[in-house]
Amino acid sequence: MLRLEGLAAGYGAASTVSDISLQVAPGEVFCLLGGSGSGKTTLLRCIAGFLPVQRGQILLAGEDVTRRAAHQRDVTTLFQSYALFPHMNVAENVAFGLRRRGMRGAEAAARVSEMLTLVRLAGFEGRRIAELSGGQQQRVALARCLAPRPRLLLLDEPLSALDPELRAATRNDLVALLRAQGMTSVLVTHDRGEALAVADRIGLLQSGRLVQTDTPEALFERPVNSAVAGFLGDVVLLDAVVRASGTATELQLSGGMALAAASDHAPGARVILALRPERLRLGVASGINTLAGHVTALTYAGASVEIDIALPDGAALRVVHPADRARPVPGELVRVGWTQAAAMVLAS
Amino acid sequence: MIRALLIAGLGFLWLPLAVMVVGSFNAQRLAGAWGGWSWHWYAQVVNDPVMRDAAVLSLQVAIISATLATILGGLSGHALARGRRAGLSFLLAVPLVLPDLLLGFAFVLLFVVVGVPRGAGTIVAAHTTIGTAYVAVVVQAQLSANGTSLEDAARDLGASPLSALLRITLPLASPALISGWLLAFTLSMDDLVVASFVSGPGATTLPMVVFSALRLGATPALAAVGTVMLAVVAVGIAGSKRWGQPRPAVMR
Amino acid sequence: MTRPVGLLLIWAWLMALVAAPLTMLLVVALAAPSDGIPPFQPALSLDGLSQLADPLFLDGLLGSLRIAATTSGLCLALGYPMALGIARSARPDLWLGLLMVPFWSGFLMRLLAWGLILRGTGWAHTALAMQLGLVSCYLPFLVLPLQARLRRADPLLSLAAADLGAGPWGVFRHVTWPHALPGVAAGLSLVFVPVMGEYVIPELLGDPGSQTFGRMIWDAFFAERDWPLAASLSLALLVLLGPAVLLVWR
Repeated sequence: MLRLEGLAAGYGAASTVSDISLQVAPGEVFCLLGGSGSGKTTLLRCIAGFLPVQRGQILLAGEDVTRRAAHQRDVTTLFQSYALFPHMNVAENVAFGLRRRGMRGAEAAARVSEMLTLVRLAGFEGRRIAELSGGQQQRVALARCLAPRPRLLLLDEPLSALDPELRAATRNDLVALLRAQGMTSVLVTHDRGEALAVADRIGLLQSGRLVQTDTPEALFERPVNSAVAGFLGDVVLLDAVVRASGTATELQLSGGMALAAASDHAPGARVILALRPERLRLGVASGINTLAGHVTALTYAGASVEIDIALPDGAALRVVHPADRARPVPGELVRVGWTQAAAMVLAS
Repeated sequence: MIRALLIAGLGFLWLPLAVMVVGSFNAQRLAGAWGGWSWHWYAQVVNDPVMRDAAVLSLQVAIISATLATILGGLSGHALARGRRAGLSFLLAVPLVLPDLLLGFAFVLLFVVVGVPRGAGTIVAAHTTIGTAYVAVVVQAQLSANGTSLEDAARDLGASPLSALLRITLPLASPALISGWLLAFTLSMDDLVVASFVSGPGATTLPMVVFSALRLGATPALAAVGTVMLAVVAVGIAGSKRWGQPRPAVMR
Repeated sequence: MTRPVGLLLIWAWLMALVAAPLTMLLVVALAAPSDGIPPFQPALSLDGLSQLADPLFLDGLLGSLRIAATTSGLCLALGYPMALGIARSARPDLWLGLLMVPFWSGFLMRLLAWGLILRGTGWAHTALAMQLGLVSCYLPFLVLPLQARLRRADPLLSLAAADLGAGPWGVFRHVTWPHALPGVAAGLSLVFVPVMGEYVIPELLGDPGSQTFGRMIWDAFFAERDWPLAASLSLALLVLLGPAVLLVWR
């Protein structure tokens, strides 16, 4: 449905984003994930048509819309601040896009009702925007975006304005709705949890470039570099040297040996062994894929305890340990272990 | 396109000023015929006793009424910023909106009925009232933007209401008070209609003199008067820019 | 809390110098003219008010209405783009300063200048000259509140409208103009109301034959010394303008 090829855009002469190429299939929920300054909002504005493109192309359902004005693209945007028209009531807001396309009277009214029912605001047609709560306003904004049945829906940080307790429920409702409508969506967020939960595929942006584009699992399990690994979740990074390569990769760590999945790093290469704290276990016997160190801190986190361990060579590990198991005390010597499948080998 | 219209509009507004300044130097009396550069008219104006007296009177009235208006308007603006006061804001809206013709006539009725002799004093009273309304608007706008939290904070720390007013609100409002004073001053210097209604024998302001002369036709001498006024105002605006800038509102 | 003394002072002043004069206007309108000082006699006479039925009064009323409406229209036509230009610029306060300097220079002087400009041409003392003078004086009054309002517009709303399919005209109609409306109303009332009572500009620059409210009141007071008539005319003008004043007050 959406295809970007070699896109570059920015404000002024510089390019905030460059060399962006990606594809979004019809009905797919695609997430643009990145920190502040990564260029994700810039990219979104380009697709919507608010920012001219410096280089490259935007294709919507095969049509080149690169030069087309915002109001002529069949794309709607759910703004972070909702941007509801204050001088119109709910029905008028939702009908706005329909009116622009020539839909009037009973037909428009029916579509408005349908949309409001979809977002669980049936009967709210006559309400004024100022009377609505934040969550209700967002649902009106969503109804407004969906009413004209656009080919593509863009969402700019849809959950960040919400209270944390509401976020998960709203997120699930939102995604269920988008899938039920078969809506092709591009969602911009800085929240990795949101991206992992919602997306069919994620495009990770760093400093204006697409570093990796893949499914959430692939991004989490097989990050392309340590920066990506760190962005997707907590990660432990250990320096290692490749000893041998074959059906598995043999790694020499300063405190032991590790075996990881087969990779194409040559023996002698310096690499990074990346491990997720959730995949580390305490109280293992010594051997391959284990390391020993002293406990430096314990942080209680409700269902788990985060245990920081200092290794003899100065590196640090963090283990996420279930709270209902016996836990070590600071200073205690412990041994940490992991499975071969949990080991990620990244270029240095 | 919009920018072009803005510049054209500004040009339209500035055109008469430019013509007036240039015309004041016209050695020839007849407008439309340029007779070369001359200070002749400035000399004539300065030596004209009627003009001089009128100018002095206008200045005195303007300074006194602007100062009184700033005090009253400052208090009003503060009161309005603190809360919705329907009666006060209505009475203050009247001088702002009504045509000065109505105001002038209403004032003269008051003075005559009460038995106050009309003269410079009544002009001051009328100008003070009008100026108060303008100053109140300016002060209220700035105090509303600053919020009342700073004054509250001062009282929370132990300052009496009067002390908080003098030490916190007054300095913060000073840019508004200064630009309010300048506004009231300009309005007073400029006022023709109200002054004509409420003044009495011997109290002739500069606009009144200029108006009677203007009815006979615009002359370079009058243009000279206008240019001097413009110079005075330019100094005033420069002063206002220097001292009248509001501090950025830091608090919500 | 403002010290009660300060508040008392303001109220006393305003009651004496705003409320009282307005009441007296009513009283004198119902009085009869006399040669004494003051030149009116408090009596319940409807003489003054009856003169309002005179066709001359209607002339003046229509004349003033026409002038006020034309001036308001011209000020809006030129003033809206100017306000928009200021609101969109990078340094709006700079442009505002440029706008206000002529205002600060005194209107009499600018009228004098228009007189000078038009003197050679055949356009002196015509409706055109008067309109030029009026627009020149009142344009800032419209631009000032309007640009303040426009500067507070949320730019996202225009984007949202375009996003949903509104072209440039649609955005103006559905977002920009509705938002600007309160600013336009404020600006128009600061032009229309005072111009209804204008005397000086029509007198100096306008057609000597045309009649306006301002001229009628001025003549009634200064020329004919008929205070009740002047009061009646003032009252009539007040009644006409009352709704507009209430609008600005709110």
